[in-house]
Amino acid sequence: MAFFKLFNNNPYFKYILGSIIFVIIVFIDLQLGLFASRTVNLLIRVVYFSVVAIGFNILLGYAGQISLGHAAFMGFGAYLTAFISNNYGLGFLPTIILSGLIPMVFGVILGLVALRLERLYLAIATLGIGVTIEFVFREWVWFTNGFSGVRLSRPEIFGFAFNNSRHFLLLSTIILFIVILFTYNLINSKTGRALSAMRDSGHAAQAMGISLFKYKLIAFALSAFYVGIAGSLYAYAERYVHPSTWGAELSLDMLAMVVIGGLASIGGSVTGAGFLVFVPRLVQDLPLIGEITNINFILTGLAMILVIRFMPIGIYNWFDYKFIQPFYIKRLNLNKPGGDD
Amino acid sequence: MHWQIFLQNVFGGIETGSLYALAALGVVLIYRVSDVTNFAQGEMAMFSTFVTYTIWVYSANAGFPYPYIAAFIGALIFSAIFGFLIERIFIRPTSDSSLLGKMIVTLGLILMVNGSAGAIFGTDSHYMQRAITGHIRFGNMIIRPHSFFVIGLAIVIMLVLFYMIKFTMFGVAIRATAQNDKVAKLMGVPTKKVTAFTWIMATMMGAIAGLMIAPATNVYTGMMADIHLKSFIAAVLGGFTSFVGPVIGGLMIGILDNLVGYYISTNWQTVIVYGFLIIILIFKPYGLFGEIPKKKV
Amino acid sequence: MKKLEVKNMTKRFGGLVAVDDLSFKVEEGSIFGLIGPNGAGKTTVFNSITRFYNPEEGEVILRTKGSKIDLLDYKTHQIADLGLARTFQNVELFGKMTVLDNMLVGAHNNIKTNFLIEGFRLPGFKKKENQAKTKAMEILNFLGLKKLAHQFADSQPYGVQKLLELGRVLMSEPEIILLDEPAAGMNDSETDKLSDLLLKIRDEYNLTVFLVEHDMGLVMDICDEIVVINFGKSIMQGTPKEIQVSPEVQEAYLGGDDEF
Repeated sequence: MAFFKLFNNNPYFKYILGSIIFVIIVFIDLQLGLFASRTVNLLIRVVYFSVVAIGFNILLGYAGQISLGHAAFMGFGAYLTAFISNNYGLGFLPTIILSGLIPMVFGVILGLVALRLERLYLAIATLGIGVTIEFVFREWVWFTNGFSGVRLSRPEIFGFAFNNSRHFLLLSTIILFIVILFTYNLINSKTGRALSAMRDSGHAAQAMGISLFKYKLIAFALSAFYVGIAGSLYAYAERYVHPSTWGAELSLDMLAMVVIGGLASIGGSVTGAGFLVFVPRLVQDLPLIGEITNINFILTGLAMILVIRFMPIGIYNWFDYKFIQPFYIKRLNLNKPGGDD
Repeated sequence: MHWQIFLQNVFGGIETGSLYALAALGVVLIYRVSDVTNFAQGEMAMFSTFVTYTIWVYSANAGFPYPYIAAFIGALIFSAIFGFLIERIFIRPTSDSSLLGKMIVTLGLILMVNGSAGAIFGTDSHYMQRAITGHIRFGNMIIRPHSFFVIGLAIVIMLVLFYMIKFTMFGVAIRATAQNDKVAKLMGVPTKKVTAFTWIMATMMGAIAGLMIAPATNVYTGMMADIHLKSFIAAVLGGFTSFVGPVIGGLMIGILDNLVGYYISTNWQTVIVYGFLIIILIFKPYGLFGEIPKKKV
Repeated sequence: MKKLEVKNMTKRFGGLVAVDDLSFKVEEGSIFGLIGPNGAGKTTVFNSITRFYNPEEGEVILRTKGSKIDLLDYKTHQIADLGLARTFQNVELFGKMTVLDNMLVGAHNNIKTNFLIEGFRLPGFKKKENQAKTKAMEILNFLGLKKLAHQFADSQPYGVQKLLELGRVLMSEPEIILLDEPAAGMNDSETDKLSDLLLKIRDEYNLTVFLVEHDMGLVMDICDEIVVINFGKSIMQGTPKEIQVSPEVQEAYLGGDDEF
C-alpha cells in the first residue's frame, strides 16, 4: 500500500526507482557479464539517444517548438569532444560539459532566428540550418578532419580509464540518471510550466507574465545543451566521428523517438530511444522481413504514422494510462489520474 | 566572354529554378487546400522517377520505338495513382490531427517512401536519358535543347494550373477550400474530392520535376534530397499563401545557386544560399509574397 | 483615486480606426464596465491596454504602488508584474496542463527561482513552490474547483474553464483585473452566480474590476460606473442609471441593430 501510494503521489519516485534499477542492472552486468557485448553496445546507444530524445522533447513536446536541424548540435558536441580531448587532453567531465555548453550558445542563436518564425517556416528554416552545419562539418577540415573523420580515445575520470564498454555503459547510465532527474525537476517547476504554457497558449502565457522571448531561447538553449552532451557521449562510445552521420535523417530520427515514445514525457523519450535502437535490430533477425533493405526506415516511418493516428500520446503514456495507472489507482481506491510529468 | 558565361549560368539557373518552382507549387497547393506540409514531396517524386526509369529501361529493352514517351506517360499515370493512394491511406485518416501531427505524418512518409524505394529498386545509382539529347553552341555558350524542353514544360504546366485555379469551377473549389474548408463544405464544395485531386496533381508535378532533373542527378534514393529542400526554400521564400510567390522563389533560388557556385565557391554554395534564405526570413518571416496572418487575441 | 486612466487612445488597422481618441477613468476599488454594440472596439481597447496591440496615440496611466506609470512603455509580458491581469474572450487556458498547473502559471512572477535552483532542487525551492501551491489550492477552494486540481484543463466543461481563467488571474496577485466578456455563454442563473462571485472577489482580494460585457443585466447589476463606446469613440461615461436613460446610448444600440 505505502509503496503504491508513494508511486501515485510522487511520480518523481518512479524515475528515481527506474534509474536506480537500471544502474544496478548495469553494475551487476559489469561484475558478471550478463549481456553479450553486442547488447552492451546497443544499450550505450539507447542511453545517449535517450539524452538526445529528452533534450528534443523539451523543445518539441514541452515548448512546442519544432526543429529539423538538431542533428547538427549532436554532431557539434561529438566533434567538440574529439577536438578537445585530442588537442587539449581535458578529462571526461570538463570535455562533456564544454561539448554541451558551446552548442548551447549556438542553440541560443537558432532560438533568436526561431523567435521570428512560426511552425512551418521554422521547420524549413531549421532544416536548412541543419543541412548548412552538416556541410560545414564536411568542409571545415581543421576542426573536423573532413571526410577522413576523427578518432579519439576512451574517456578518463581522475585517472581511471573506461577501457571496457561495460564500464562506459555504467558511466553513461549515471549521466542519463542525472539528466532525467534534472529534467524532471525542471519540468515540474516554474521554468517547465512556463514552457508548456507557451506551447498551449502564447497569448495567455504573455498575459501571465511569461516572456516568449526568454522562454523560446531557454527551450532552444536547453535542448542544444542536452543534444550536445549526447553527441559527446556518442563520440566517446564510438570513438570515431564522421561528417555523414549528422544529416537530416538523424534529425528525423530524433523526431521519431519523441513522437513514438511520447511527446512531453521523459519516460516517453527513453522509450522512443529504445524503440529506435532495438526494433530495427530485432526485425533484422527475423526471417524474410529482416532481409529487406532499409527495413528500419520503413518501420520507423510506419511507427510514427501509426502512433499519430492511433495513440497520439505515444507508446509510453498509452501504456502508462492503460495498464500502470489503473493498476495502482485501483489498489488505492483513488480517483485521481496522476499527471505524469 | 564574361557576359556569355554569366548568361549561361542564369539560363542554367532558370532551368533548375523552374523545376524547384514546379515542386514548390505542388507543396503549396497541398498546404493551401489541406493544411498539410508535405515534407515527403521529394521522396514521392524520387519513387515516381524510379518507376519511370524502370519503364524506360524495360520498354527500350523490349524494342519499343519511343521508350522515353512511354516512360513519360507511365510517370504521369503512376504518380496520379501514387498521390491518390498516399492521400487516401495516410493523409485522410489523420486529417483531424494537430498541425504538428500532420507534419509528423509526412515526415514519417519520408522514411517509409525512401526505405521502400531502397527495398524495391536497390540503392544503386542509374543513368537516365534526357528528353532531347545533344547540345547547341552559341559562341561560347553551350545550351542543351533539353533545357528548353524543361523550361517550356514547366511554363506550360504552370499556365495550365493558373488557368485552372483562376478560371474553372474546379479552381473556385480549390480556392474556396483553401480559404476555409468548413464553409466550403457547407456551401456544397466536395472538399474531400478537392483534397484528393490536389494530392494527385501535386504528386504528378513532383514526378515531372523528378524525371526532368534525373539526367543531371542520376536516379538513386537520395536524388531528390537537395532539390526537395531547395523547392521548400523556394516556397518559404515566396510565401506559402501565394501561388505566384513559389515560382518567383524557385527561379531566384535556381539562379542564385548557379551564380554563387560559379563566381564565389562551389564548396560553400549551399551554405550561402541557405544563409540568404535565413536572412530574408528574419526580415520577412512569412516570405516575400506571403500574407502575414492577423494576430487574433 | 483613479486606478487606471486611458487618455486619448487611438488604434488604427490600416485605414480602419478601431479606437478613436478614447478617454476614460477607472476608480480604484470599483467595478467598471466597458460596453458597446458588436464591433465597437471593446476588445481592441483591452488588447491595447494589455499591450497585445500598439496604439498609435494616447496614454494608459496605471497607478500602482504609489506611482503613476504609462503602460505603453512596457511589453506585453511585463504587464502582469505591474498588477494588471486579464482574461480572454475565447477562454485561453493551457489545455494540456492540469488545473493546478494552470493556476501555478498564474503565479509565474511571484515564484522567484531559476533553473539551477529548480533542476537541482536547491534550498529554498520547496518553500517557494509550496507557498504558491497552497495559495492555488485556496483560490481553487474559493471558486469551488478544488476537486478538479489534478485534472487536465481542456477536459473541463466551459463553465469550469471560465472560472479557472478567473482563478489564474487571481494567482498573479493583481490590483486590477480586466475581464473580457466573463458571462459569455452562460445562462441566467450562472450569470447571477457570476455577479455574486465578482462582487466577492472585489471585496475579498481588494481589487479593481474592469470588464467588457455583452450581458446588460450583469453590467447594470454590479457596475459602479460604465463607459459606452461605438465605432471606437466614447459616447458617454456614467452610472448604470444615467446610461439606461441616455438617448445617445439607446441610439447607438438601436442604430447598431443590437438588443439592449
